[in-house]
Amino acid sequence: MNRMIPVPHGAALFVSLRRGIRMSDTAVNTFRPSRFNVMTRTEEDAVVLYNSMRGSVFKVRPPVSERVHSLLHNRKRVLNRTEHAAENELRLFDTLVDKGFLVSTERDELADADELRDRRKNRTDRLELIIMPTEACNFRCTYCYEDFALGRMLTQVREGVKALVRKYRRDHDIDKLTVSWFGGEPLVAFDVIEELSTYFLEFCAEEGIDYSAGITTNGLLLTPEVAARCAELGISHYQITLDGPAHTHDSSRHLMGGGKTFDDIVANLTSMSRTDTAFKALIRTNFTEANSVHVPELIDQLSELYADDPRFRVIYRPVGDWGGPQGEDSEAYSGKQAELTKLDLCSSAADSGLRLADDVFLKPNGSVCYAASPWSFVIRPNGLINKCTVALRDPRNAVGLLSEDGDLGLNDELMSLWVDNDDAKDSGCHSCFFRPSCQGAHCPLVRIQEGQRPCPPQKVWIGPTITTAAGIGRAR
Amino acid sequence: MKVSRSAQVAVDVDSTWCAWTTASGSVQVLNLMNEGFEEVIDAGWGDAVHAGAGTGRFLIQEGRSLHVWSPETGSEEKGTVDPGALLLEYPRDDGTAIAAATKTSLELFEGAKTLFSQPLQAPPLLLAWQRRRRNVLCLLTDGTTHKVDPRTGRITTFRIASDKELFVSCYDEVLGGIWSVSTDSPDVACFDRLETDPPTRIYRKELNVVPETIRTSHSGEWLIIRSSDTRPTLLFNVNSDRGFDAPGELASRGVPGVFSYDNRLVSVEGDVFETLPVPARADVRSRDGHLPTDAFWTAPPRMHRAALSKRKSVAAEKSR
Repeated sequence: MNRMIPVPHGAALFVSLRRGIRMSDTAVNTFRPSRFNVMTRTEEDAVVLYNSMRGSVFKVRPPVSERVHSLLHNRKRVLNRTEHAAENELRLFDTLVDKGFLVSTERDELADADELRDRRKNRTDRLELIIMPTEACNFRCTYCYEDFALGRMLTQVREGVKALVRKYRRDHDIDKLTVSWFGGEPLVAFDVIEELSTYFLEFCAEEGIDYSAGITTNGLLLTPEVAARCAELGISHYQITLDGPAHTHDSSRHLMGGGKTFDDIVANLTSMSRTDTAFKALIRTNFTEANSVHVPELIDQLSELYADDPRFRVIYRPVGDWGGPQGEDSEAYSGKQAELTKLDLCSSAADSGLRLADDVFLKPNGSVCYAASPWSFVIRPNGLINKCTVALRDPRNAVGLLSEDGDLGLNDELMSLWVDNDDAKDSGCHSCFFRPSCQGAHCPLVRIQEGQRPCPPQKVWIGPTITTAAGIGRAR
Repeated sequence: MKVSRSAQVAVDVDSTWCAWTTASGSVQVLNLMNEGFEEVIDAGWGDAVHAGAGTGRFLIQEGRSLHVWSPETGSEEKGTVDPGALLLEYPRDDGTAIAAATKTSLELFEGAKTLFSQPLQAPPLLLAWQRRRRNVLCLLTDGTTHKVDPRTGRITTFRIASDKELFVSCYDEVLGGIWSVSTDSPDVACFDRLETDPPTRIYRKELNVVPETIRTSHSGEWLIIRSSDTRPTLLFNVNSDRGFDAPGELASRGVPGVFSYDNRLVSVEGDVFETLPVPARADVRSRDGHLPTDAFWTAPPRMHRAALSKRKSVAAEKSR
């Protein structure tokens, strides 16, 4: 099972908002700690600072750490800049203002968060499609939730996808098209990817639309020839899963029928690393309580192969209960221990010279699920339009049906379940320190299915998360 | 060449249309998208059907005569081929072309123009379009396999491992290779992955019957095996290594069958058909060896429903 990781979209919004804060905050003298700050102490009496509106993490060592702590620990305290006139103190004070940890007393941070959310939700300049060229898969991963009932994308649906892009350009004047190939195993239907990608590239070039594409693949069919063709087709982002070294991986991510896969995948990745093609490959490891002890072996192996190649990054995720048929046999691993194991693996990977890809989740918009944005759609092989790539059988996820003329046939009530179920309606989320990052929309599915606030693990375990992030920053 | 039994029924490129031949020499066509409102269409005379290169499109042979049938255009003449030839239609940048494997040669042609020709040293057993690689595959009874790239005419030839003659075979796009059965182990299906260099044999599956035809579901999860006209159609689950006799009036008599795009087994005979929803995935439910067969067949083609049935039955077992 590969959970969908869309191409991140938080960075551009973040930059423009930060400029706004900086300009207005220099004109006043009274400040207070930002409501989006998190500060945690480390064992060596340093403090780690995080601000979710900026997405930045800093580690401050003694003796400055004490002064920082004293300035920031009381959120309600009003601080007058003129009272910090000594040169060192003023420099520290201004740095904290510049980095967003201190904000003007006149600043309405909740309005900033509203604006951040609304700018994401109301943008009409982009279309994000998660396309499933097939739901068939050559793997049978032990924790997978999909049932592979639908095969290759139907001819009429492929025509509908092309018409949809034309229609969106005409109706919304989009200037950015992002496509994420998902499945099943998308490379099983590589001919569909070739057909649609060729169309997207030509149409976007004619219309001056910025086009980017990524693929979530198990990597078995990503042979050198296919990787080269993917580059020609504009596919530059990859997510490939390796669940530990060969013996662990082959027991959880085997071929349909039981065949081994690890060696072929690593051979394909290594072939990619020997090219000079521009790409970003995210190597994901799903771990369980039982197999996590073997992951460091994989880290050593990947370090030898790819530590010097900035195109490769790694992430670690505990196996979740993603709604598959396993029931009580599920290997799901959650809670504090799972999260701490993840952070340990991140630190080990960084220490081994591998690059982490988890920093995006601390950025503004970085923990918002793609399903929460009105311009993001999942297109199934039979034309069904979903918002989420996990709850494929939940009728509330079937928000539309694509017709051959490109009409999405959206149900407004169902769409609203996914895109309006956020911090605007949840008072807890409204006042949360993590709000700019997740906006109460980390997982709309959890709200819909369980009626619960979907706090992301990086927020729940924010102390260890930012301490690890600061340590990784230092290691790199 | 005798008409192959595998040419008695075919699905189109989308698995949304099905065509079959009848004992009286006609060809019947069925649109599988209209579930509950299906209507059998008479597509004229023919003794073999093969997949064409478009939705609802089929190649139909009647003796030496070849034509294409589609719901939009009806029947179109496409020239002549040897009776019993294996056929397929494949897409080209500017239309379609036909591949034909006869006793003596493999040919690609468009209208009267021959695009490629290769003599064959053994009878052909399988002709398939490898969609994601855009190649024509031709497997011979001696295990020789020709892979032809129609764009360049480049041919690559290799052998799949077999000491004895192969007698049934099918291509599976999902796993990317060929299932075949040879006379030395006539109840064992072997799978060779073709996307490795060299091709690699990865599976030997005990079928416990000697097949007369074998074909795959679009998901690769199932093999549809017909062993004789009287035995039920065997559905063999590739992932869990288990076979199930298909229920239903037609399937239990072993009539020709195919899988639809939405995972129904479609069995056909004369001018009647029968559809049977089949679970798209059976690995989890059957891995403990205690699959409740009733729940398995009555469940809709969704794995989790049947899994719940299994859990309920386990709970009932425990409460006894």
